[in-house]
This record gives sequence, C-alpha cells and structure tokens, in this order.
Amino acid sequence: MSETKQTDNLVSVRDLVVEFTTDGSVVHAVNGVSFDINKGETLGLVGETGAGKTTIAKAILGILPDPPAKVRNGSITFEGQDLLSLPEKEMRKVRGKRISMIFQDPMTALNPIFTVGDQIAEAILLHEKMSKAESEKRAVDMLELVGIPGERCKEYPHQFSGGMKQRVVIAMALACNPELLLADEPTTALDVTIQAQVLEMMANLKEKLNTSVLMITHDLGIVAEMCDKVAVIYAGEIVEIGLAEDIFDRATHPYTKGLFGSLPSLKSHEKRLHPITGMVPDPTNLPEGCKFSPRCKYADEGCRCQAIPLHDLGNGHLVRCRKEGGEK
Amino acid sequence: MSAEIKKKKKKESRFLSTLSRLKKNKMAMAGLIIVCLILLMALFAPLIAPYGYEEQDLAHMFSSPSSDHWMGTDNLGRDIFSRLVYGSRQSLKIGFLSVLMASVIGITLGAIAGYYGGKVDNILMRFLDVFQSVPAMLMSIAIAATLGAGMNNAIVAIGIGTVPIYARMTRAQFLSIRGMEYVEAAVAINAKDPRIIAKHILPNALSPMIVQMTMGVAGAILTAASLSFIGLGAQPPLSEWGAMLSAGRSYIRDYPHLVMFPGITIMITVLSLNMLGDGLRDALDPRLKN
Amino acid sequence: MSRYIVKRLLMMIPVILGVTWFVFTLMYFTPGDPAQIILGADATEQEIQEKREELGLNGSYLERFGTYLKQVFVDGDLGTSYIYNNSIADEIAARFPNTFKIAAISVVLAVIIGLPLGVMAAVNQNTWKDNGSMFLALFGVSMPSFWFALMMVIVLSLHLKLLPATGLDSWKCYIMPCVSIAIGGAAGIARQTRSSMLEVIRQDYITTARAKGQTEFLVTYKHALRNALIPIITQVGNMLGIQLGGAIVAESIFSVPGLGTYMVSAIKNRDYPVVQGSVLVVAICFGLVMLLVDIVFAFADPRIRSQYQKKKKVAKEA
Repeated sequence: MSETKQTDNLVSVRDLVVEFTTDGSVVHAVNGVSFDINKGETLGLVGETGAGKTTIAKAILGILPDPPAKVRNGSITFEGQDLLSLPEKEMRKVRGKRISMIFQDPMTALNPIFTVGDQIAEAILLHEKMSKAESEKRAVDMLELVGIPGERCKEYPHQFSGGMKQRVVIAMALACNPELLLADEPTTALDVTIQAQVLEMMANLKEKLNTSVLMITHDLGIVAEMCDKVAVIYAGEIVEIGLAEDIFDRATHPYTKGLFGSLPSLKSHEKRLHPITGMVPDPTNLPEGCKFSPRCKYADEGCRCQAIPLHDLGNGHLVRCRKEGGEK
Repeated sequence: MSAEIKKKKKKESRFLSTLSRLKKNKMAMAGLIIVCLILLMALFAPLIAPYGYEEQDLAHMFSSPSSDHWMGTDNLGRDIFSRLVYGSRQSLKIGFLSVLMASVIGITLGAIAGYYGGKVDNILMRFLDVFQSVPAMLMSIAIAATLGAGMNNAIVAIGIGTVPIYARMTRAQFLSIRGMEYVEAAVAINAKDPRIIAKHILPNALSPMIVQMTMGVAGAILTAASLSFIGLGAQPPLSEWGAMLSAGRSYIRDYPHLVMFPGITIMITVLSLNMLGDGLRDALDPRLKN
Repeated sequence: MSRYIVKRLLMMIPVILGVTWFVFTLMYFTPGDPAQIILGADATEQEIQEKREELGLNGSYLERFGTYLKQVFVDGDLGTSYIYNNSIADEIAARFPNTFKIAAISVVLAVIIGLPLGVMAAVNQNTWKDNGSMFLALFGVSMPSFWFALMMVIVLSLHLKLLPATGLDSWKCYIMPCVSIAIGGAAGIARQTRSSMLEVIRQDYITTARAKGQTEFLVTYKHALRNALIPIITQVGNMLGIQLGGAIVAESIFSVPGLGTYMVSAIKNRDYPVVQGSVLVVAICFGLVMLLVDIVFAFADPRIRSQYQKKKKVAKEA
C-alpha cells in the first residue's frame, strides 16, 4: 500500500491466524493473512470452497464460533481500533452498525418465524436511537431501496423467493449504513439472471452510501465487475494480491493462472478447459513450504522445504511464489 | 464381483466407523459395560447369589444390610441381594422380549404403511390413531388386566402398548427413503418389492430403530416395574424388581432398605441402557454431535 | 383456522368410537364375572344369574356393544358403577379436577425446570455445564418415578414429618405428587430442548442475528429458542395428555382421589362401565390436548400458520 493512501485506510488485517479444534485435530483455516481495505474500496477475496474466505470475514465481525474456532495470532484494525481486543459489549456496537455481513445462502439466512420487516427493524433498533415505529418505517424504506414493495414487510421469509430473500438480507445489512460490508458469496445461491440484478443493485447502493466492501467469491466474473483489488487465497494463505487489473492482466501465481485457465472462454479456440489438477490440501495436515506445491507443475524441492514469503512485483502486486509463476 | 466386494467393504466401514465413534464415547462405553455386567448377572444368577430367591429365613426377617445379607432381608427373611440378582432375569426378559415383540410388529406394520402408502397406509394409521388416543401406560394396564397378571402377559401388554412408536417411526423413515433416488432407481430396474425393502430401504432406516430399541428396553423395564407395582406384573414368589418394590412398600416406615435397593437397581439398569442408547444415536448420526 | 379446528374435532369422532369399541372388547374378554365379584363368594348360582341379568351381562357381544353405544352417545350416560352403584359421570366430574390440578402443576414445574436446563446445556455444548445437566437429566428419565415418590415419602413425611403422605387436603399435599411426576418430565423436556436447540443454533439465521449485533441472551432466547419450540411443545403436550389420563402410579402412592386411582381400582374390581367410561374421557382429553398442541404450533411457527390458512383459502374457493 502506498503511503499517501494511509489516511483512507478503513480496515487492515495483519497476520491473521485462525484454527479450528475438533476431536483433537487442528484445522488450520487461516494462516497469516494480511490485507487492507480503503474507504469506498472493494476487495475481492477469491478462492476455492474451504480456502478460509468465510472464516476471515467472520473473524473481522467477531462471530467465529468459539469453540471450535480460535484466533491464534494477528490483528484486525478498524478505524484505528483493534477489533480482536475489543470487549464483547463494544464489539456488539460495531457489529451490524459499522460492519455488517451478507451471508451466502439467502434461503437459510433469515429467521423463519419473524417477519422480514421485524428482522430489518431489529438491526435498526439495536443501533439507532429510534422508536419502534420509526424503525419500522426505516425498515420499509430499506425494503423499497432494494426493490421490494414496502407493504411486504409484514410477510415471512417463506413467502419470498430466493432472490427476494437475498435482497432482504442486503437491506438488513445496509440498514444502519455500515462503513464496511462483508459480502460472502452474495449471489452464489441465486439464478444467473437474479445474480446480475442483485450485483447491479449492490454496486449502486455501494456508490450511493460509499461503503467499503469485502467481496468473497469464487466467481472471477463478479470480481471483474465489482472489485478494485483482488486477493487470491489458497489453503488459508493469500497467494496473490493486487489491483484487479494487475491480477487479471498479469496473473503470476500458478494457482491464480490455474483459476483463469479453468474458465471457459468464448474468444480462444481451445477445445478443453484446464482444470487445476489434484485436490485442495487437507487443512489438518498442510504441506510444508509452498502449500500449492503438490499441485504445481513448476514446483521443485526448494518450494517444498521452506515457507514462501510474499514477493513484491511493484504497484502493490504481491505474489507468494519463489519462481514468480515458473518464469524464472 | 468387485462392486459386490466394494459394497461389502463400504458396509463394514460404516459399521466400523460407528463402532469407533461409540468407543470414544465414555458414557456409552460405561453404559455398555454395565448392561453387559447385568446380563452376566442374569446368566450366572445361581453362581452369584449367595441365597436362593425363595429361600426364607423367618428368624432373620427385616435384617439390615450386613456381611451376611449385603442388602438386608425382606419381610419373609429372604436375602434382598439374591432376589435382585435373580430378578435381573425377569426384568431383562420383560425388557428385551417386549421390545422384540413391539419392534417386529411395529416395523412390519410401519414398513407396509410407508412403502405401499395409499389405502393400506390410511387404514393402518387410523387404527394407530385409535390405539394412541390412550396413553401407552394406560393401554398396557388395560391389556394386562384383560390378560391377567403374570410375567408373560406383562410382556405382551407392554409389547402391544409400544407397537405404535415403532410403526410410526418406521413409516416415517420409509416414506422419506422411498422418495430417494436410489430407491427410484431400484424400482426403475424392476426390482421386487421385498428386495427393495430388505436391500435398499431397511438398512438405511435402521439407525433410529436401533436407538429406539435400546431406549425401548429401558422404557419397558420401567413400565414393567410400574405394572408390578400396581399388582399386574410378575407374581410372587418371582422376584421381579418392581414387584419387590411393591411388596416392600408396606414396610417403608421402618425398613426403607426393602424399597431402596430394588429402586436403585432399576435405576442403574435403565440409566446404563439410556447411556448406551444416547451414545448409539450420536455414533450412528454424527451430524448431531458437533 | 377455526375451520381447521372444527375439522379436527370432527376427525376425533371416529377415533373416539374406535377407542370405545377397543376398550369394550378388552373388557368383554377380561376374565372374571362382575356379578360374582359384587355378590361375593357365598352367593348362590341363582343370585348370580339374576345379577347378570340385571347388569345386562347375558346378551351377545354385539347386543351389549350396541346397548353401550346407545347409552353413551345417544343418551349421554356413562352408566353406573357395578361396585359403588353411583353415576360414573358424576364420579369422574368430581375426580377430574384433582387429576387436572396435579397434571397442570407438574407440567408447569417440568417446563420451568427442564427448558432452561436444556437451553443452558445446548448453549454450552460439551462443557461441564452441558455434561453435568445432561447427566442429571439422564438420571431423571431413568429413575422410576414411583420409587422417587416413595423415597420422598420416607424422608419428607415419615422422618422429617414436613409433608402429609396421602390425601389432597392442603396445598402441601400437592408438593410430593407433583414433584415426583415433574422430575421425569423435566428431564425429558431438558433432553428434547437441548437436542432441538443444538439443531437450531447451527442455522445460518442465528449467525445473522449475531452479525446484527444482537446480544447473546436474545440470540438464544428470541431467535433460537422460538425456532426450537415445535418438538418441545410436542413433548410438553404429550406429558400433559398422559398426566390428564391420570398419573396412575403417583395417584395410587399418595392416595389421590383422581382419575388414575379410579381406573386402577375399577380394573382390579372388573368394574367394566367405570373402565370404559374413564378411558373414553381420557381419550377425549388426550385428543383435545393434541389439538391444542397443533394450535399452539400455529402460533409458534408462521409456516405452519400459513399452511392452515392456505387450507382455509382452498376450502373457500372450492
């Protein structure tokens, strides 16, 4: 990050390590992740299922289930406050108000026994000095903001379609004008057409409210559309991070390249996709050295015996590969 | 051929993984060990009991626990410990046989209703509605009264009284598994009904039944004790635990040990069966555990 | 909703008829001659015959069943006790309040103890709080309730002389019967609450509630517990239904003049009309409680509520 942008910094995560302990075995979910998000900026967090993306978001919000999850190391600084050392009572004031989260599956993210209006109003009542009636009014406004007729606020989640539910979830997350929005695969569970609508709506709202977004996804299309910066995460580590155009134009890490290689393209005439061979490593037993080395066609002994540091390629583009993608 | 072997292996591994999960559960293992000990006690009762269950010693009535009579003697001078040891035969017999009866009838009815559905299902379920509109305990008492007091009748009464539990559970399992694609696939290749039921549905419906049966034995022992308590279970001089409790009731003012020990014995037995049942449920359905 | 209730009430009719038939048949095949029992061992053969005639015991199975059905469902008369020679309906009406009071108090007590225990266990899963309370609950469901009742009698009545051992003369009399029934119920409710809460607190919407900044207390009791209620309500309803049928053993230990003691003595005395009449009343109570449970479901869960309403709408359109 360049020095001039320091003042704009909203959240910075440093050396975050999260482990899950179940039945005596330790799952290394997040292993020393660092990144910054500036005000109004969108950072895309890209990686396979199980790479630790959702865990990072939950760690920021302080809602990791403990036990089994434990933050072992690192700091999360939000507007100069260290969230990890914040007492639970203070943290509750941050949650839902200054940082809020959109969950992956709209079908299960809403409480089935409360009306959607009540669920949105609950978040407002918790954080804003408002009467019940005012909060309800605001909830109706929020519903309308995400394109749902206000009179539906008295309805229950089961009366909404999946796309509508996701809009409700988004309305709930935005109800208190958060400074940081953690969007955990907000469109994965939706139909493609609905996906586009929801994304467009999010982009508009973000513009309007100047919210920073941590966009968690495995869909590179969404990244291209929405994100200013991209962090590619593999087995709980950032393997490549940089401005979106740098990552798209000069993907360096073999894993990042692999991600692009497994996308079908209409322009090229290749007959086959290029999937990344092999399996995601067992998080209870991660390989030594470069965690991608067992699947990497360029890997050699040197990659397997030592931890690989991030390598600066300039312009904030960092890559965790000693060969810089096999070119050297 | 190799597919067959693979399948077998898969089955075995499922059994083994269940077993290994069960082994890790200390409560369940404690329960299992106690249940085994009680079974051994029932099996080798004559070797363990220092006296016969009918052996009266009128010179030593109501004696308190001592080195001669570990748990004291009852109103006829019979050794309570010996009677409890022999009594395990009666209580376990009632427990296991009534559950066997209830589950055989219940699972058959439930399987028929759940598999065939439609009219058969409707008739069977309405019949169960009638049956279940009276609490099971009251139903067992009424049946026991009709059949007359006695061990075997108590078994039948408790067995019939609990049939609906197994029938409903089996039906629900069958209904949900019936809709699974692998069963539809079996139907599509024209497999015969009994084969589909035995090969595809029953094995997948088994876990909750095993748990229910384990807990059912515990419940049956409790119900049997209640039946004996109101005079409808095992008859003297048989030393069923509930009957011992009932007989000791008249003397509780001065000789509480007459009811204390049988009660504790029932409780330990039922507790260990329930511990085993809980452990089995967690082991068979690990999803629920964490 | 009201349409649904009416429908359910109508559906109870065949069940009640079925129970009547079932119990009648059971009693029909029960060995022992009531006439002999009423008159005692030294009655002559002729006296017994006359008594049998008087009681209507000489008809065929179908005749007797028909007579009974007409008497109950047409004349609304549950009949007269063979032994006490009084109206069964009156006797049940006099005894039912006792049974009801004990049942209601025990159920309330069981919920007050069991529900928080189960919630605490679930929220602190796999900690000493969970293990401890669940071990206690396991004891509770494994303990013969009548044995516990006897132990209470020994300690509290016979030795400490704090509570009366029998009867229902003062509020003190209710303590032991209610506690002995409530213990098992509370244990069952605690176990059910724990497992149903464990299912719920893993749901995404609980994380959503936390992410809003809701307090842990309200996440647990507002968001989670209300979703976990359905199986708990079923359990509580079942307990109430069973206890309304008379806490048979507890009533006989504490000599409570309730439905349970009435039925047990009737069964022992071959007092058929009493057994039939009381079982009928029990079945109706049980059916009403189950209906109540379903109605409470609708209040607890809007999805179930809308099902009922949908049915209503469809019915209206048709």
